[in-house]
Amino acid sequence: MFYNSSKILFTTIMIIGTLITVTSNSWLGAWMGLEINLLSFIPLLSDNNNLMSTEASLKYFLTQALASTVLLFSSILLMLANNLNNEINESFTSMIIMSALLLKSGAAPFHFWFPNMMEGLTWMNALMLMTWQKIAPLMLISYLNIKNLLLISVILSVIIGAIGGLNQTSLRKLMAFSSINHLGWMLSSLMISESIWLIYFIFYSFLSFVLTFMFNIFKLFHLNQLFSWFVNSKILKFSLFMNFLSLGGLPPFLGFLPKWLVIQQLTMCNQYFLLTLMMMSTLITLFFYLRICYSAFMLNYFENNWIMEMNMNSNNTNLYLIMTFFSIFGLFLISLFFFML
Amino acid sequence: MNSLLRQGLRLGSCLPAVQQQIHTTAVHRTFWEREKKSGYKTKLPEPSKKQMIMDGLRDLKEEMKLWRQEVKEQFESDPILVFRPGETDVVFDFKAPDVLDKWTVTTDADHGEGKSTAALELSAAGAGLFHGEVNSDHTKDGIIKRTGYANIRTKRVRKSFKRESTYDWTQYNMLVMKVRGDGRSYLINLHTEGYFDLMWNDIYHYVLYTRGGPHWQIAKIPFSKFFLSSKGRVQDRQGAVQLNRVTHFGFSVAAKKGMDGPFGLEIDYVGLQYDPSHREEFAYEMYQTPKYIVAT
Repeated sequence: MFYNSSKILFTTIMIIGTLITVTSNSWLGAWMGLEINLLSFIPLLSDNNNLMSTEASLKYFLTQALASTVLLFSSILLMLANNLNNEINESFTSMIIMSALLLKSGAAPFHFWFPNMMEGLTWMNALMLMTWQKIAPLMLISYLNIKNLLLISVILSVIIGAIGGLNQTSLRKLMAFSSINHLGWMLSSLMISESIWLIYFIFYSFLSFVLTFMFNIFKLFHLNQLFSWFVNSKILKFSLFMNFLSLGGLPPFLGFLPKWLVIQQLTMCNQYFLLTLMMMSTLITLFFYLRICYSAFMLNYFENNWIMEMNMNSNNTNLYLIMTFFSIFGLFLISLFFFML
Repeated sequence: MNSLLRQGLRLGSCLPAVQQQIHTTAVHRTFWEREKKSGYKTKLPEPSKKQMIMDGLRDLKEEMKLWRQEVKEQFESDPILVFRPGETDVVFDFKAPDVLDKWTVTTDADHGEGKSTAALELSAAGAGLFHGEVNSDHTKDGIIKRTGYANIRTKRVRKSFKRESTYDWTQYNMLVMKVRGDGRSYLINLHTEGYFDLMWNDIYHYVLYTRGGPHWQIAKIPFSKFFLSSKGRVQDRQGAVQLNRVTHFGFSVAAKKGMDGPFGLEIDYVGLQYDPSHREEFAYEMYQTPKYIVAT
């Protein structure tokens, strides 16, 4: 990436756009940052040899531009109604702003563009979309005070993320539905406190990065490839599937920690119904991951015996193994760190 | 495209050929398309509202059954998770009694551009016989340069409640066909109709060379060999066929370079296979070109 000056430019401006949004102190500044982010992310999407990338970037542009327009108009309406101040209480205008921001981040019930779009992206672009592009809208959602719409969105996101991922064979769509599920958890953590959201987001980004890194190295796009690709090295196969389970939130792995925090805080707020619903749908996601891992660990498919294509050099391998180490043993390491404070 | 003198079209399976006429409107050399058929839509009269309601209610039961099956499949969640090398999965065959409804036959005579005839019937061997006559005569009106073609195409695959869907052929990499031709070269079309108007006419082509003669031939064509074209023009920027977005499948035959005359293609089945020894991703090399210049 660092040999391509356009990519450097657009990535920098994308980062700057998000920073403008989170550091602004008015809705107008926030909208500006979102627009800058959008306009610089689109050339990054359409810059590869795949013929589907233009379609993906067009779809992204249309949905995000719609959300930005609604955001701008409703924030101006907000200012007009409140004599150029921001408002504290819930109101209809806040709900419109919230809907626009949920559309931007891809939460249900505004998630329909997300899996479809992920099909046309390379893994690195998909990672950007799943992690970095969520920061700005989620920060802005934390400034709003709407309970009902956020709860509806949380419930729908976790359920749709779980059920949508059930019969998928495309890895990108699977990661998209997993992202929608995690987005539901992140929105619920926003209701509790911003630090918990930040912790959840950082852990989720880390785990997504590890998985996406692996998929990128081996050019995996389809679930069928996962079973037949690793006949040579068992360590890589085991580490990949443990990362999968970590993303699903299985306890001894790192992915359980953010969920644990959210569960604890929600219990302290007596949100038992919401919590039960969220845990049940996460179990459905985990069921699906576990079934793939079970098949992969138990069965070997030697008919497709050919040389693996990969660009795994010593840098890649070191980075990947370090990250896998943290993903598998991170839970214990963090508790050690806690006692060192 | 407006044109003078159009004969009255009747409902039913056989439409009389439209009288040939001279085109009077200007040709639009734009990418923008008003509708999916790009001016080749046959305007059939709409049924009355009462008829549409009765049809809808009649279809409702079947659509509910289809939808229930889809929901069950979603929750059963048992997709095929391995490549199965060497196994051919048949996608199109001519065994079911109503299979001819799933195919559409078109020729250049449908919109007054030529005099070819074509039909798709069940042959004596239980296969589908696509036969007819291609004729490259046409009125010299300056718009049509060459004509003489006939096509068959499957109808768009749909989910429950008539939602449009695509075929998902990602776990295969070869197209296998058992055909018996007459020595002509036919064109295999994989339509991957996109979402936007620029991609409505994305079709991937490859040639099916037939041997003629009484013996069946099994043609195995990898998907990496298909090249992209739009409305008959081969595109500069090529890519491999998107196997999860295939919408229609079809064959074409043309009277190219004076090859007018009768044609016949008997298709026993069209199937898909995964061949692990075929490692090619895409057969046509795209060179690095300077930015903003499509392949020169």
